[in-house]
Amino acid sequence: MIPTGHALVFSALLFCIGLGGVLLRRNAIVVFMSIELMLNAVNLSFMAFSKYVGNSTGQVFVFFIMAVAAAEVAVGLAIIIVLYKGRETVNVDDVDLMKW
Amino acid sequence: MFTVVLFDVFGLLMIVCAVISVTRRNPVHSALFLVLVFFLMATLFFLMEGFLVGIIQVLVYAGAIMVLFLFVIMLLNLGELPVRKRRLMTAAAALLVPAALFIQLFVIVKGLRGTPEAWEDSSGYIKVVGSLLFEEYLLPFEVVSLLLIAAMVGSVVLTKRELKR
Repeated sequence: MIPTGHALVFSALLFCIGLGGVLLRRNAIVVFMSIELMLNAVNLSFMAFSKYVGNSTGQVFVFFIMAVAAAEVAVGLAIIIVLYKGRETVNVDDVDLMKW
Repeated sequence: MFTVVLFDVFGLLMIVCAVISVTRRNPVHSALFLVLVFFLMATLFFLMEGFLVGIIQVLVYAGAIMVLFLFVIMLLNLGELPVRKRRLMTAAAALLVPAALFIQLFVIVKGLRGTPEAWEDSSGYIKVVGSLLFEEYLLPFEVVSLLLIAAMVGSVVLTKRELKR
C-alpha cells in the first residue's frame, strides 16, 4: 500500500516545478508545458486522496481534468500559432500589452 | 514494501525529468522530457491501482497532447530563443514563490494522519470507475463531449482566420 504522503509530496514538488516554469520561462510553448505539469500534479493529488478514502470518485475527476486539459491544449496551441503568424515570435515578453 | 520503494524511485525520476524539462533551452528537448514525465506519472497511477487513469494518462497525455506539442514546435520551426538579460528581482521572485508554496504544502502533508484504505468496491477497478462515469456522472460526461467539440471548432476557427494587419 503506497503511503498517501509520498504521493502528495511528489505532487507538491511537481506543482512547484511547474509554477517555477510558468514564472521563469519566456518561450510561450514551454510556459504552456509547465501548465500541463501543474495539471498533472493535481491529478496525482486527486488519485492519492481517492486512494486515501477508498472511494473511486476521485478517479472520475481525474478523467474530467484530463479531458479539459486536452481541450485547453488544442485551443492554447491554436492561439500560439496565431500569435506566431502575427508577430513572428513566441517570446511572452514581446506580447505583454495586456500586462500591467 | 517493494511497491513503495518502486513508487519512490519512479517519483524521484519523474521530478528529475520535470526539472530537466523546465530548464532546457530547446523546446523539443523540453517536450521529450515531458513525455518521460507523463509516462512515469502513469506508472505512479498504476502503482496506486488507478488502472483506468493510468491507461488514459498514456493515451491522452503521452500520446495525443505531446504529439500536438511536438507538431506545433516543428510547424513553427522554433529553435532556441535568443538569450536576454533577466532582471535579478524577477528571477528571485520566480524562484521564491514556488519554494514558499512547496514549504506550505509540505507542512500540510506532514500533518496528514492514517494510511490509505482498501477500495470500497474493488470488484474490477476499471469497472467501478466506468459505472460511476456512466451512472452518477453521466451529465458531466456528456458536457465534456460538448467542451471537446467547442475546443475543436474554436481552434480551427482561430487558426484559419486571416489576420488583418
